[in-house]
Amino acid sequence: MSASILMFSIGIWFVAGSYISYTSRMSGKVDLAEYFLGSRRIDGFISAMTYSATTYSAFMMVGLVGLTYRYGVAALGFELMYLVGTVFLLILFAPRYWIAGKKYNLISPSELLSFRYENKAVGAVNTMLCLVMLVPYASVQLMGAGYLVETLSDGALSYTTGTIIAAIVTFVFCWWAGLRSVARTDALQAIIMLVASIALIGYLTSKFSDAGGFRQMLVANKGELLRINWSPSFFIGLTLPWTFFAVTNPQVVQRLFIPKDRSSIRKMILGFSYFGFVYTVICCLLGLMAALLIPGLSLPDNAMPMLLKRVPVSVSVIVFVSILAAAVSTMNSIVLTLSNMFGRDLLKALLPSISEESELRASKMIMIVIMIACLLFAQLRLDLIVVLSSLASGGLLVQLPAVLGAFFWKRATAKGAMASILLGGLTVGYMSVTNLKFLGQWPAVWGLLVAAFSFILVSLHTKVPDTANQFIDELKDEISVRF
Amino acid sequence: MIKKEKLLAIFAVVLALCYVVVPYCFFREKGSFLFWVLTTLLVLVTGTIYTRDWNREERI
Repeated sequence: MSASILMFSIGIWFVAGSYISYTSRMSGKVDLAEYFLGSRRIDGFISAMTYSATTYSAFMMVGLVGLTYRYGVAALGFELMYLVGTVFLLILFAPRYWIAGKKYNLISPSELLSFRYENKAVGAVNTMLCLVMLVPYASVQLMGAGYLVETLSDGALSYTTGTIIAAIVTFVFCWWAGLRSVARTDALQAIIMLVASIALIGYLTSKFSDAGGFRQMLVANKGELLRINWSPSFFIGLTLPWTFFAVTNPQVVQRLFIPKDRSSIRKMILGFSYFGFVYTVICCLLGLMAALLIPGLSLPDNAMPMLLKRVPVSVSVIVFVSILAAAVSTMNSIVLTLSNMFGRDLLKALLPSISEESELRASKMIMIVIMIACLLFAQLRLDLIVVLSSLASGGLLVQLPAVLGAFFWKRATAKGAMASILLGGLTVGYMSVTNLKFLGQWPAVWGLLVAAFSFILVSLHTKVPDTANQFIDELKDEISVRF
Repeated sequence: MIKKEKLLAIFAVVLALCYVVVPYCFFREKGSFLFWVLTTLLVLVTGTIYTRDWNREERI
């Protein structure tokens, strides 16, 4: 694909998204709830699309396609297990987050923990964990964009150019109206992602039909990809952190505050569920098709770029934009949420008297700082994509005991929550960096065990917050009446 | 948790176990693709049915 076609397609997408982002601004005073939550007035369709686009990153069309190319159907099981876990967690947790957010005027996910545990240090510790885990993960999105642009243009556009383009688009798509910009551009991007994947699979399916049928060819030539060739511990180690993604990744948790009513929550959950199902199955089928069409790649992540070189430009261009869209829609949500958490859970905790205007201004400045940090990090071109992604998912998983305790365990305490986040995070960090798999199990498994044990032990020996019963009972009462 | 949430949580745990155990025990050579797709569809339908009341007008 020529560099001019790539730049032209990026240009169209950028102009359309920028227009949407710019026109999302609200007139009048913009407060924190408006900038970071769209005043909790986002309708069901936009909520569903932004949830989908935030959740599904460039990993799907590059990483998952590559994973299926290399390992076959086990990759489908891994990704669908994530989807199933998310659907159940959303049904159980979305009403709780939504009610708590409205009732107690909570804006960030960490703020909910601070409120429930009556200790701002819990939110601060949680925010630091998220910053440490998510900045490298966000950088991976930029790295993916850089590699994709460089590969598809055959080097005419450099890796650095690709990362800078993605960073600029990310910034523009979230700066003007915060969550409203992000949510509405996410809706555009989710539609691009789905349309592109359908176009590509449709084209390839027609090609396979001419050659005797995809299924027959797969069974005859690549039958081993239809077997489960992962060990159970590998499957669990990879799947476990992602299964609880919906309650441990702040950029998606914050979306549970934004629907305008019950019906919108339902549309968000179901819209995401069916979007995720279709998109996941298509990506896995693309991986299997790539294995038939371009066997023998030493680097499975190259399967999609190589596949795009074998389809008409009209199809490859839209798929290319969809992959960039997936990366940007994940990244802008992460940047927006992290900047909010920095302002709300670190700055506000340190300077309680800071005005809302100052907090918003500081958060927007931090947004720029995070963007630049991600861009610089991506320039290092560290060969650590897998390690960083694993570190992020496993590291964020250690929040799980504190989150579950906040909603369901009246005996849970602030010190227990902090101990679990700190010890669990350190465990995952150490095991990920040293590539240690104790007893054959992945860092996420040990991190979660350490977090759970420390949470329970410390909670049982420390003072319970005065309002713990009230928080849990009030949510339960409202859910029994309204859901 | 209210009663119907507890039932859903139990269903989720059982299904998650089945999601791993069944393919590894019975469909390791072939059939896992279809098993995972159908089981996921079952979950989506369950979610659709479970949340159907959320569309109704609020009582409070």
